[in-house]
Amino acid sequence: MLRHDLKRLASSLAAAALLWSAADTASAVGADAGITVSNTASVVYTVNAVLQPAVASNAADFVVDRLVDLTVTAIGVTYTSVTPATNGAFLFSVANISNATLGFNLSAANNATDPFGGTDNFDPTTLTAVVDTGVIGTYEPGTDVATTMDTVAEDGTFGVWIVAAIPGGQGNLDIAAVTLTATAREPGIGGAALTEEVNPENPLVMETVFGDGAGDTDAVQDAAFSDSGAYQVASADVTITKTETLLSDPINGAAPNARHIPGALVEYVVTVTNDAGSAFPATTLTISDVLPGDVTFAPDTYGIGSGIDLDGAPQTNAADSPTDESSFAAGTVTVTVPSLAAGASAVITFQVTVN
Amino acid sequence: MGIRVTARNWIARCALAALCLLAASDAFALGTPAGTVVTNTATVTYVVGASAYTQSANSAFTVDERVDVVVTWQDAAPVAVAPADVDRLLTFLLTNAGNGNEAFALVVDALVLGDQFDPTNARVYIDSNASGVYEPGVDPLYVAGVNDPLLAADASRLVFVLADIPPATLNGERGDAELEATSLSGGVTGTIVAGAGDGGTDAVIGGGTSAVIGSYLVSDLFVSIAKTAVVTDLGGGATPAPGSTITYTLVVTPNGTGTLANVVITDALPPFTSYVAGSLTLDAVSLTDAVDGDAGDFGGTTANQVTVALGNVAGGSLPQTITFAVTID
Amino acid sequence: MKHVVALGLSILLFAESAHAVETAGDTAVEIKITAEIEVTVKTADGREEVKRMPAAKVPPGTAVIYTLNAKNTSAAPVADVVMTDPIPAEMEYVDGSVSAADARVTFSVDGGKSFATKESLKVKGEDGAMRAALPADFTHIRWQLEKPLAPGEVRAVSFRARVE
Repeated sequence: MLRHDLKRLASSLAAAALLWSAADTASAVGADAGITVSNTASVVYTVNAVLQPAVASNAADFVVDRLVDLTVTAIGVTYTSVTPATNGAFLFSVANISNATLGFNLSAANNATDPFGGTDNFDPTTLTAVVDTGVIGTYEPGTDVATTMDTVAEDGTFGVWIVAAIPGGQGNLDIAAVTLTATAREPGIGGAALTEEVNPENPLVMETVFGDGAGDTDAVQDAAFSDSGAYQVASADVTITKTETLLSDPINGAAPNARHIPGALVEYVVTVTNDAGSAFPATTLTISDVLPGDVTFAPDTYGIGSGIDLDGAPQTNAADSPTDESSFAAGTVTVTVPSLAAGASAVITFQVTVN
Repeated sequence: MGIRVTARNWIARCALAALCLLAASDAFALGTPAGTVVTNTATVTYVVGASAYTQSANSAFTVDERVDVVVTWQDAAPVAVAPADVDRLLTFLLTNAGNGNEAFALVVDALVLGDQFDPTNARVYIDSNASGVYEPGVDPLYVAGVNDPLLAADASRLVFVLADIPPATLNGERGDAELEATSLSGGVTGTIVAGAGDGGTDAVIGGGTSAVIGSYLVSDLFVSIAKTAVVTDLGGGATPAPGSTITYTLVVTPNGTGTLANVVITDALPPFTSYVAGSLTLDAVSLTDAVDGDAGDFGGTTANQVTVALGNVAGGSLPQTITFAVTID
Repeated sequence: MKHVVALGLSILLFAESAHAVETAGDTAVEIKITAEIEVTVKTADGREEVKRMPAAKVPPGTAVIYTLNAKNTSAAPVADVVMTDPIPAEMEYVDGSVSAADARVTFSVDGGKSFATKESLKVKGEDGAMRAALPADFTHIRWQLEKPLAPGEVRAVSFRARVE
């Protein structure tokens, strides 16, 4: 077995053991930082056709420097679906492709650019970056709490969740892009930041060299790398529309001659629709309409004591649940609908007269 | 409103009109003003999972103008007049019963059929200073197209018709005059006048015209009041001095034919006198000083004044006598 | 310390049939090795210039230039000069980088046991079949000088290897 093959095999075995081996395209460089590479040549020769003993040269030694390199890769190739007023978690992998063991600091930030091509249109209220421990690939709120990774060997990879608090009231299909930045530092708890040597002179001292590329939001050779993911809200988008139709006035009767004069009869139609693209039904809908003081509710439009119509069914004006969930009280029309599936509508009709 | 006779007018003609600033009575008084934008918001709240949402939608319309005018005759009964009287007054109330500002044209017609005579020289005056009474020389003569009264929604204005009574009229004859008010926006009910309403709204003519008849009645009916005073001093003599008592006697005599409605006699105390409690009598029957079931009171209806309501009094009926006493301070 | 072992082997190989003319420890040929890297520097007039520096800043991926100098320190000419250099384990020979003026260059893929020309070397691939050797397979480089070294003459050869 050749030495290079051995190295590669060891490297690929290590990668295969981890979930995010796919992300491990860039393999760490081979020579460990800090080792001394020594080279001694030899020479043999003949003098008058007589072979002389071999002579060794001096040793040309240098210490392999520390090449800091890392990658951050979004594991998801599309949005993480989230529901409002909950926490969403997006998984990244961080790979130490340096030739040394390092520690990593993690930070999460909002990003205005959606990596999946959509349009970022909201920011989660809080963002945290935590290491995926416990069951790998599953966000466990009580377990995945570490915000730094103190010791990662060469070729080591680990998972990081960006945990985002999705605001309540966020609309269906809204998008929030987030970026994870991992910054390499000295290994160990509270390891110091890395600095790059600019004037190395002694071959036998290990220098630190930054070899990382530019991620989504970081620069080249800054010991940091970043990649972005995004959340997409799965909710219900309910729209409400209200139309007003003048039915008649007390002088000229019905349209088209009716005008909005005092005593005119006006019909309001309130339509509440859960968008067909909604991910969930809307529940516990309460539609309320506070009538302005310039109109008077017509109490008996759909029968004695039934001035409200819901989807073609007369509703009593009394607050008499469970007979029906509609009422007219204190100048307010109130209708309750338990649930509205995606694509469904509720239509509420009532009439008023102009005072 | 009744005829009001005061004891200071020793003889009062039964022609005095009192004010009647009644609120207009009709249907859409205080309707939503024309031009008002009525905005109505429907709100839906709903829940998805742990999240609550609110959405709302508006709809709005603008209230159009309804034109309505009402004219009422304010005199409770035909105004009593004598033959050849001039500038006799009929009082009307013009009310804008619509919901917008409106101007009205006025026409008086004295040639109404169904009466016994036609008043002459009928003219219209406007109570433009809203004083509530006709003020000769102050309230202007109405000229159509020049000073058509402009009234805000639900506002009212008194309108006076002055006319002369022909000499050749007999007691008991009635002469009518009709006052008609027509909205300048139009008078035909149901007409829609685009853009003529307040705020550019459409004006819909409801009651665009209103007319009412007022009447004069030739009458010789009047009340005469004779007032006498008897002074009694503290020494039993008749010297008016502090402490002396003055007893007043008012003899009210109805004259002529017909009936006087709601005759009320009032008499204010002279200065530096004090009413003697319990001294009020009517036809020798004592009246309480309080406002109660009997006909008279002191100081209750009006402060420091004797008031006796005689009710309807027929012309030629027996005189009625009122007495009361005061002391000199 | 694999290279040290390899060096030992090479000494043994050639010591077998040796009978020295000079006394032991008094050699006629000296050999020196230097390790350098190339860095691009800006000159005072703004041009960029590639300079050779001692190999100090050597992160992985860096190409190191090894230069071997053989010098005849004796008063007599020496012949059949053979210089051998093990490629350090952490480094990989840069293909085509060997300088071979007046020398026959051969490579070893077996830790210096045998040498052959680059083209004729074969190794067993991961699938078990033999394949042509790649630069990464090379463990040693050998220069056989075609001409003797005159007294005082210095002959330099070099190659590049990259830190893995």
